[in-house]
Amino acid sequence: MKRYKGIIAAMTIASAGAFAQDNPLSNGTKSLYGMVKGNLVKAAEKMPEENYSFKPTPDVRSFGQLVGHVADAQIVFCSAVKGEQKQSNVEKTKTAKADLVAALKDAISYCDAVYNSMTDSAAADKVKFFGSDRPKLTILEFNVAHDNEHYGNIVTYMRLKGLVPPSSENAGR
Amino acid sequence: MNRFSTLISGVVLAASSVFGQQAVTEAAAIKAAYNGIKNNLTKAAEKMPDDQYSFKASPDIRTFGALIAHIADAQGRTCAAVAGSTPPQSAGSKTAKAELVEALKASYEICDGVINSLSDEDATKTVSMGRGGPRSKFAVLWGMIAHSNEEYGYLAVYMRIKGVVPPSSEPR
Repeated sequence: MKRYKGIIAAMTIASAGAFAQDNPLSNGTKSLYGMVKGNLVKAAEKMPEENYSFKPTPDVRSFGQLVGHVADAQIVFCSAVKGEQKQSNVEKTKTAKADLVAALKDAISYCDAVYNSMTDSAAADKVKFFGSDRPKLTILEFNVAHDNEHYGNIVTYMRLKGLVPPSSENAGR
Repeated sequence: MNRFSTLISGVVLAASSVFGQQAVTEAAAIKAAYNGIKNNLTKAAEKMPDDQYSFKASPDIRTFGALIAHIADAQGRTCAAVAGSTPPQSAGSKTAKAELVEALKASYEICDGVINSLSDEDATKTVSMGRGGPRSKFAVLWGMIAHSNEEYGYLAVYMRIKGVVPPSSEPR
């Protein structure tokens, strides 16, 4: 977590990368998504299989359940934007690292197509989500925020197991 | 973190309760996401006992108090940049709970002004901050919200380790 001398952390800088002349709004979201998805996949791959059942306290998700939850959420968010309204149940059905990493990658691959096809002109188009009509880009941004919250959980689990999380691997660069 | 039988956690549900059944706009979505994480962070800072502000989950990471300072600094600088005002003094040297809670609130005073004045016309506006040239105003604010959510993810685990239920998991 001490990976930057400055106080503005990685995703703020990432959003700053979204200054392409075209589609500055949706490119900002893509940039943030690109950062957190990379960290999530690397974290899932880096955590040893035996730590997938680890939970710091009894009443919270295990590391594996966090990975499954993130995978499930990606499908729910991105399928809503795509108009497919899919459900996913990885968290409750998978425990093996290989299965969970594969599910996370599948979910991200599904979302990649949705993020990559987003444009500023389509950002305000509404789709039904959690009972409300919401802008498509908003749903994708909430997905990023949700991913980041759980990446924060994952980082702390990794630190508790003596592992450096992917976002801190190049600290001091 | 096992707080919902439904799939999606607090970040979306908070927004859902704000939006109700109404159609929302991008500016309204930023406001809802901002207010959701602001509420969680403020409550977390207030709820963690003073003597746990020096706690860190492992030796090589920030203490709880340093996380609060980091969040306050990041928010204050980002919102000051968007507002075109002078950034507040860093909270990095503070260690006492009262000072850090105050620093966090001070960052929200700056950010509240930015967020509350947002309109959908801002969607095409850019701001200049740091390296990289002009950035989408909305994208910068979403970046800040994402960062605050990541840091909240650390805080929630710290609180759980200390036997404190994080605000996002409190009964609704």
